[in-house]
Amino acid sequence: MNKVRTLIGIGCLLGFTAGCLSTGSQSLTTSPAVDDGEIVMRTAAAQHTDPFEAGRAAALALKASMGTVEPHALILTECFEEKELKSRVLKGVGSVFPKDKIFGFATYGSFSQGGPLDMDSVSLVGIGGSGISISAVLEPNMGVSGLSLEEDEETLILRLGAAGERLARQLRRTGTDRLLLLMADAHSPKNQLLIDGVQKIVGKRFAITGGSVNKNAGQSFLYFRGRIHTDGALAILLSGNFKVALSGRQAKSNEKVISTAKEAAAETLKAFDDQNVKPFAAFAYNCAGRKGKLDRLEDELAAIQDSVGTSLPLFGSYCAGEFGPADSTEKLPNVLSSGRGWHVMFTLLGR
Amino acid sequence: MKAATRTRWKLVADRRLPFMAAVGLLSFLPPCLAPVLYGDQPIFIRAENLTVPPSTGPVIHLEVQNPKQTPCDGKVRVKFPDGWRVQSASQAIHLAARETKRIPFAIEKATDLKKNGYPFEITATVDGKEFSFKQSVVCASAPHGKPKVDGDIRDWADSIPIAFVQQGRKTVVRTLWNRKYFSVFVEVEEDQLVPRSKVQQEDPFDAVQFALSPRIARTGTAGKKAERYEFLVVPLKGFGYRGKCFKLIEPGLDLSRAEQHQKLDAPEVEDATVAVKGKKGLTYYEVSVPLSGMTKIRATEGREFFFSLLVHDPDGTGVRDLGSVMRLPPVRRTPLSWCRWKGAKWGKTIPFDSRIEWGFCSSIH
Repeated sequence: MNKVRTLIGIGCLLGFTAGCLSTGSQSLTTSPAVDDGEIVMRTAAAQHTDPFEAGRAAALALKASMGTVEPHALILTECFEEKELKSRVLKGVGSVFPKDKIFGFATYGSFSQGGPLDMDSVSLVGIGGSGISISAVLEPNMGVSGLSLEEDEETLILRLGAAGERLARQLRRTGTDRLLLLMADAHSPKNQLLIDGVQKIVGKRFAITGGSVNKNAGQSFLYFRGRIHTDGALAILLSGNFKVALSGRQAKSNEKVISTAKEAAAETLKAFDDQNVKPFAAFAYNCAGRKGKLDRLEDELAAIQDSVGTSLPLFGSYCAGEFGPADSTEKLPNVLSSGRGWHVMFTLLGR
Repeated sequence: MKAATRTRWKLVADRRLPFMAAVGLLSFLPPCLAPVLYGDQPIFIRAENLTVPPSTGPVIHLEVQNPKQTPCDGKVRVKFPDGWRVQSASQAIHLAARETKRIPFAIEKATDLKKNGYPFEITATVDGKEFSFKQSVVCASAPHGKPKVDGDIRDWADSIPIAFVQQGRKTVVRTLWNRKYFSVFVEVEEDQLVPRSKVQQEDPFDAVQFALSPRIARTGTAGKKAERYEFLVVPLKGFGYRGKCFKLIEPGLDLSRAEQHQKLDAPEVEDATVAVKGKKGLTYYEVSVPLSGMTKIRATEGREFFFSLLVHDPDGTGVRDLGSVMRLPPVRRTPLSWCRWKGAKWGKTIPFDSRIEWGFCSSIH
């Protein structure tokens, strides 16, 4: 009898542990998507010198915008200068939404369909509805912080490749996986090494987009389930009955930044038009270098909205590297997404 | 005329005469004298500074200037450092009479060098005549950072140093920026630091003079308004060494102020912090000036601006000019591009203007 009790006890302990791990701190998965279920993606943004107020204001605006739909996850980008301030942003957003649903990274600014935002700003996109599911995973401590390609190329290839593989292996896969959002503390050109690893698992033709964190000293942070991480990478896999169209464009002058942004948006829209698909949201992972070339931030957004309109929920951020289709004559034909710099990676989601 | 007045006029004339002569000469320079200034090269070419680390794949520009009264056609080709990949290393050029153009070269792959000197070899063929030269191009960029202003160089490890030697003495200039401040650290190799005297305040003393302006700024001529923010860092004797930072000119002020030999009795720059430290054979100047007082400078990653710096070493080398290592053309020596102030000992050579290409960048990593 004692042996039976012991076995039952061990079994309970194992079961309890397994239960914790499936929604443990390193991953979050939601129920599989319902084929004709609703998909709700909305954006909100706020700017305030008080980071808590900025976070809270953006979160309240998002909550109002999503109505009765509880988001599965929020992706957050912020542009505050110190870790303490970024922590207060998370608290501000966390005062409205459960912090376990907060993901994102530090950027150089952001833009939504409502306009661009620079310093002291927070942008959010909420993803919800039974028609979309997510699997969010984290690979912390990649061991590449402070390493440079000039001096540590072999180590970076090894570590980033392995980190990318480990990250992708954690994803919950379904038959309706559509888009992988990748956010990492690995700026261009190191970001290519990370996506190489990811693509060993998901394949080179799988749609991947995303960006690299702000690389200013003391500002390189990722946010995973409301916690701050460095030297890591996170991935959010979106699944459901919807389509995606991706486009990437490179530019290094004011005029080209504007014109290529319009081209990228137009290309994805045409792809959808050809398939009779209606867009319901867009991501734009954009390079901080492009932002630095703009005479006016509004001009690039206006160019994008020339193509997709001003009401489509658009979640854009300025990053230190981008994931998506490379705008290059040397691009390999069997590879959809790469890690690059100076690009705007534009993704439309639609049905 | 009384003797004292005669003496005063003589002093003014002595100081101003070289500059006035230079202004006159440069303003009315006949085109036929262009070859004297540019050698036997039919056009003037220089590679502008990299304003972000080259590993980020920026666009670098060649400045090409046609000094003649007739147009010219040609081609320019650049041999970049080993291992670099550029979209196109060769470009056609067409210049109208006396036109200046910036020719872009998009870098696709490059590596950063700690020594911050990138060897370029530039070959131009213009109107059938070929010439080439080498230029060591620097990355002139301020990464994001928040140094503690205490004269300690250790928190400048993530800056991008530019070193230059004049009369056998080395100077190293570093810059950093953050949302609130623009910071400068200068290492000056010299025998001794000569601080400003409390009593004889107009006796020559050591100082660092620097200027920032927007990328579209011009130096301007007499009667125009200034387009730059110019500062003077003055070391003072005290416990160790202290320093003060004065603003010499800012946009909107009359440019004639530049030749007025300011007395430095105005209030210091509010919210600026200064440290001056002397070690054996080296003086460190460190200063942070608030960006809130420079509203015409848009400080954000990737944005370009103009910067330059002079070191005043009156008991040693005289004026050391950062512009001297930027391959600037002689016409960029303009008297109104730097403010005069009491205690300065200017040499016969007019420094280059204060508009060296510089950039705000994110990080060297």
